[in-house]
Amino acid sequence: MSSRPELQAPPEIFYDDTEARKYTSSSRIIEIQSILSERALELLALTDDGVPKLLLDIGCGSGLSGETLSENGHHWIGLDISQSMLNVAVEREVEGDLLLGDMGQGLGLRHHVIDGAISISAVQWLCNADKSSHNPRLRLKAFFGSLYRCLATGARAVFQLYPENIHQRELILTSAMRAGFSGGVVVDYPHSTKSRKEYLVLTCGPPSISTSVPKGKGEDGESCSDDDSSEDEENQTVCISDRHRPRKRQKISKRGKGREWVLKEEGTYEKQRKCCASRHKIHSSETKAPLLIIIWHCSWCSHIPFYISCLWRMACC
Amino acid sequence: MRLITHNMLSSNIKGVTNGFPLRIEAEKVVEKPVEIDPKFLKNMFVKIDWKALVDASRIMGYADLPDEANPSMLELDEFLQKFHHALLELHLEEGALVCPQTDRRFPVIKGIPNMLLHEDELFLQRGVSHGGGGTPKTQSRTFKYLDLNTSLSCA
Ligand SMILES: C[S@@+](CC[C@H](N)C(=O)[O-])C[C@H]1O[C@@H](n2cnc3c(N)ncnc32)[C@H](O)[C@@H]1O
Repeated sequence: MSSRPELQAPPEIFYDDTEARKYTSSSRIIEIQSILSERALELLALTDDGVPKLLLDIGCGSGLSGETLSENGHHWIGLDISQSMLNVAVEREVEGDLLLGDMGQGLGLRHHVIDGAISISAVQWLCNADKSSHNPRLRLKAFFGSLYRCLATGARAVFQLYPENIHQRELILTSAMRAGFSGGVVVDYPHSTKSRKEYLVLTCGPPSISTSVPKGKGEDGESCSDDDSSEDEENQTVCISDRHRPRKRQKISKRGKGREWVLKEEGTYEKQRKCCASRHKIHSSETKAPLLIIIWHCSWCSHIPFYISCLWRMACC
Repeated sequence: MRLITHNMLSSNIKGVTNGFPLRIEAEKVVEKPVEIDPKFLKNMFVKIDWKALVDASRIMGYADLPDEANPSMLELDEFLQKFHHALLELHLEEGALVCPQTDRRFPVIKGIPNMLLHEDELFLQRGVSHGGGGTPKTQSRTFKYLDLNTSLSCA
């Protein structure tokens, strides 16, 4: 039973009544789910204006993660492929609305209406082909593409995930970038094998100051500094352009950088990305220990915003 | 499912160009009172497709929403109450959502719409095969993965 759940059966089979029951009975599972979702919510960096947001919980399961969202005053819509898990959520009388659906088929949601999305330990399931018709690349594309469209500009999506290996991480990251997201990976407690947790933090829109990846907890023996997050929130408004947004939020661009600036960034983005990607070829060797490198700025070619986190194994360790 | 969610949902069946709004077939509707939050309602108002909300609430047996609405009405308590009730207190427990273009029914059971698509309804799965449809970098279940990092087991 120590093997990864994704390798045992498709999610709708693996998360059967017995497995779902654990989500009400195992205090360990309940605690882990709530810690992970608290952190995911924190990384969403929602504007702290006291207005509840409309969020998505992808792979919402039994609703433990959703309960965290409710406790913080937000409304949410949860999607899950397992009826058994959703039954548990109904039993718990969660406050969010539940949908039975497969994220790999794309989300059937209107455009630009969702304020943020979280997903706890679910997206790595998309990397498996459970049916002959399944193509992980296409399913990831359908998922990230539809997620990008339903999110409001500047909104974030945070996925806690357990990629099985470096290729999965790359595959997931690349699919997200292709869909238009910018962002990267945040690793909490990278040096601990037990508490190490990975979050993919994505922002809807081209790279800008607002899409910089927050620091992981326990990196350099430090915890996420408050300064970082407050700067983040301030910058978030930079990205907002013409989509349906409450007027109020459009005005608070403290940096004085408006739409023109954003558009300029947008135009140069494709070019930069190509240039950076070709220069920073990542070589991986399966046998060496993993190491996280987050490239904040592309120093090789002096293009400024390049936030893709690269994970690779160094030959020296 | 509440009407706030109905107002966000659209059918993403292959070939459907306008999958919004999904038609509601209501067999059982329940009302669950929740506290009103004017700030949230004001925030949501810009995102709501008003006509879809009015039509949906009528099918669910609530006919008090005005046909037209504009942001200035958000200052009126009476309007806020009605908006709140329609958006957040009416639940479709049993029934179906129907794609406006194809008439495909998505059943709603115990309040949960089943939005799973059949294979032939999928948007991306056909006719896109670069490089032979193989998935070189993903693991198949029969393939034994060598780099065992025990800490990465799923919660
Ligand atoms: C580790 S559980 C998360 C549980 C959830 N956060 C909770 O609070 O109960 C992962 C969930 O992802 C769901 N999942 C896996 N693949 C999915 C897919 N393709 N579409 C939707 N949900 C999926 C599973 O059914 C499972 O409920």
